[in-house]
Amino acid sequence: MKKYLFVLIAISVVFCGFKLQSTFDFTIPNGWPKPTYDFSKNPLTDEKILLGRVLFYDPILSKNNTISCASCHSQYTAFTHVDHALSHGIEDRIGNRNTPALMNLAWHTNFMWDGAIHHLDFQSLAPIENHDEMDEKIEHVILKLNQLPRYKNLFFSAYGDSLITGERTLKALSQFMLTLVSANSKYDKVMQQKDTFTQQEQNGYLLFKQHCSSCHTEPLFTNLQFENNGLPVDTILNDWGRMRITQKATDSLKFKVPTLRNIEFSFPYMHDGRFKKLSQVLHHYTNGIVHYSNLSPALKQPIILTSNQKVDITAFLLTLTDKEFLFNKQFSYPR
Amino acid sequence: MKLSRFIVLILCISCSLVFAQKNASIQLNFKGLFNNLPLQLDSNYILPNNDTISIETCRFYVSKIQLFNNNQVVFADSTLAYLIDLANPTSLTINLLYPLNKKHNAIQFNLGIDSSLNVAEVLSGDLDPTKGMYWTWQSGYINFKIEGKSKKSPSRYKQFQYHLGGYLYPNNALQTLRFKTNKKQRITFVIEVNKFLTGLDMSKVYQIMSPSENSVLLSKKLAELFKVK
Repeated sequence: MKKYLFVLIAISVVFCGFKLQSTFDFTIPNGWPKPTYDFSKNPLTDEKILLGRVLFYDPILSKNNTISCASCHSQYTAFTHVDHALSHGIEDRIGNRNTPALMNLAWHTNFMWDGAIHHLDFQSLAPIENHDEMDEKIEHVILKLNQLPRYKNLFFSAYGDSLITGERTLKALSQFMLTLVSANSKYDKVMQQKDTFTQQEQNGYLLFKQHCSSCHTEPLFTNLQFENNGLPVDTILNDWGRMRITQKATDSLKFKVPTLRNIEFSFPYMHDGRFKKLSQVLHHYTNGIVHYSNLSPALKQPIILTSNQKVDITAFLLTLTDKEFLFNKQFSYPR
Repeated sequence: MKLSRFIVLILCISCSLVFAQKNASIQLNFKGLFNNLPLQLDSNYILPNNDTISIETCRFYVSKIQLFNNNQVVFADSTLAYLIDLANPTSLTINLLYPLNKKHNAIQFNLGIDSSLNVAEVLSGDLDPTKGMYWTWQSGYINFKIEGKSKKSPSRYKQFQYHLGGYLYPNNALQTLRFKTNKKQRITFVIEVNKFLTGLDMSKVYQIMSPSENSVLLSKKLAELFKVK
């Protein structure tokens, strides 16, 4: 009998050992495509997500320990930086692009406005090491983390030992960012027939499908491609977009199509944050297109909208606001 | 008691001998040379164009090591990549264990990281991005990094920095090298660094830090400077 008891205890100890890692179920919203991120290479667990979340909110990632990822990617504004046209780094340094909103990243294969980064795991390296952002070195981040018992513990519970490496740090950051799924806006509820559009929103939706959705494709509200959307060149920034990466003239002035989800909060707009208001964005598409040779085909025919129609489209765009996402406690500062 | 311990010991030794005989090892060594002498980091050298230079850093990736017998792959190393760093003596030796019954007459490896590893998830060990061999502003590994000082360099600290890499067409800088092997179990690869720097005008080209035509050209030149000694 005693022997059995011992076996039982041994089994439960082993079982508890496995229980230490609690797997996180990543749910694909109804009707959405399969994510492109390969979860088998970095299986989500609650402990790793928590580690990533702590890192995301920790200014230790920057050279002088003053700014964190969340400094420019604030949850309440869809993980972007309101009122900052260009990204804002340590010592008030200003970068050359608008901070993108972070959500639904498991479906993205290229990151940054020019697609310079090809895998979510490597994305965090760019702001950490960019001179105008965190201006730190990943090697040094690891050194700093290694000196803190708090991180030793977090890495231990996430990975089963307290070894802190670049790979583990970056994978944990990916894990937290992968959980940032926004799929509970009014639009989503209408699609699931749990809510209805107002007449104005419905008009706006139809106009949106006619004029905007070839690039801002549902349900992600981006086709994840790079497009030239006819913006005049900013002669101070002289940013040629995707061409810097591919060195192909045909990619000149192409930028990654951003999602429109939570657009109510993600102003200012465009890769350089040149527009503060949605009305300015719509005005650009109706009146401001520069006809470059590689202009997005969808913009070659002029878009004609009355001011009422613009109001309708705006009303529809506001249905993409997802309050559950913006105020989800799982995404906020880890207390 | 003593006897049984002795028997166990004998058993262990004989077992290990039996297992050891199934594998053979081959040792690869990497050496930097400058004017036919071992390269000394941080010491001054004079190039034929009268530039005085010193080398602070010289590191590169060796990956996908394979042994061939008459053009047939007989062994593929399971380690994805090795970071060879001339400042780190232990990194200069690679020990390969391969099955003894496989004959080989050639060895092949990549100088750098191929596209399949470049597009993979973040990796550990020598491929961890903390090794200073990953471009952070644009995804991709640096295949070969050489940095130092040059009297002719117009940069702020008289530096030169060549970070060679790139895995996408048309700027794929990866080089595949193949050498004949003989029966010796030690192969020493030398890289004649002086020949790499000769012909580079550091008053003009003192910095290559992204995938580019120059990166590809210099990578090709580099591949020709690896020799077996």
